[in-house]
Amino acid sequence: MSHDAPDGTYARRVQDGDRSAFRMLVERYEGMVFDLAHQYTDGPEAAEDLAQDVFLTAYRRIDDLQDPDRFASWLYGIALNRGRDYAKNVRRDTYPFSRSEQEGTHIRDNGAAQDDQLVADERGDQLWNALDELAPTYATPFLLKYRNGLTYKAMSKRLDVSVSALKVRVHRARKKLRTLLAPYHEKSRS
Amino acid sequence: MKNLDPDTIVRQFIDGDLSDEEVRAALHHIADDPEARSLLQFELQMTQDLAASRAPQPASDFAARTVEQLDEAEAPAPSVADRLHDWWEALVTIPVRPVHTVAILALVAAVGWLAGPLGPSPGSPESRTGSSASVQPTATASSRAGTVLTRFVYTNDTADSVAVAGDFNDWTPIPLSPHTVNGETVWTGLVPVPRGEHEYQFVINGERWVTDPLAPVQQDDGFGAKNAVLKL
Repeated sequence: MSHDAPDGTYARRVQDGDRSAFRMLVERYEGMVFDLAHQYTDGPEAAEDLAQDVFLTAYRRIDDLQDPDRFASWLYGIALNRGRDYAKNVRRDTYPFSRSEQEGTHIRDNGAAQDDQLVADERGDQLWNALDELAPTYATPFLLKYRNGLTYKAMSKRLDVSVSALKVRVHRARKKLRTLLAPYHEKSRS
Repeated sequence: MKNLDPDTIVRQFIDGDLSDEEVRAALHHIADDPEARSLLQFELQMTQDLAASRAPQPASDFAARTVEQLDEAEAPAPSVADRLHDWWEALVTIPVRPVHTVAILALVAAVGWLAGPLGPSPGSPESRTGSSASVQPTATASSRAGTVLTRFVYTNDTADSVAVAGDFNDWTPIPLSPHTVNGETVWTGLVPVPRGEHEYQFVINGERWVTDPLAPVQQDDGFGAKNAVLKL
């Protein structure tokens, strides 16, 4: 099987018991899942644990995936849910201590230069919070394009969705983000 | 292009749908149209924000290690009793992550109506569990009449047994149960502990007594080592 076969081809093979096909899916989406995991965790180790948990959960539930061609958005949904669970159960308990200590030191060391970083971090948080509001069908191609740098053509092969349909989805994602972030951006400009 | 709205022009420009000539026309249009400029500005800002928040890349062997974990993922579906047990644990457990190397053990609330009088009855899920502590300790609980079911957690891949002992059980080690979580062996268990301040240690392989490395408060045990302090 060619390595650029659609996700659905691999997902069906996994459903038929071919474990090796799952590795290809992990390699394709580890970046996207890591990105999401990073938003809910405090460090690379925790992000990796969460990312691995997402893939293992997907593997366990692969038989629940009714349309294997939609593997990416299905996986995205799992990643969101696991991330939210993680945030609810763990992050809030620990974030204030470890993070504030590290940041406090950093601020003292770097002085004014820290302001830009804080603003950038805040903007990033706002953006990821807004992304959280998008349906997986829109968020998945958006992230594959903007974070993974995939062309529409490459995305089309993977997701088995036409280029024009993907452009529409990314455009809608962009519009929705614009709406969600408008108040924040207006505040920033004022 | 004259008849297109700013949103469409900017989208086509961003998506690379335009010929060279159309790109030039689009740029003129965008320059003259405040709304189109605003849309393009948002695009640039969003791209920058996404780039600035880039997460660390997964390790090169991440996929291989994840596939190795699939054996665990293929474990048979849990029985109804196991599910009830998991449900109970989920209900009463609050996980706490380490803060540097120090941290924890605390917890819990009153869920007395689930706990039964003065701790678990023989054969209940709580009485079956043991405990130990270390990298990811947690504490637990249901309380009633001054007793709190407290979860002890200790991560150790090499131990043959782990137990917890403290003044709440006359320093008699209570064994913890091993569970494999993300490839690590996590020893855990629920222990009924009276409200108040207590000291405890973990016992590895029945002979080596160790201080809970994540306990936020520790104090000398009088024998040259330290006890972890638990306040309920």
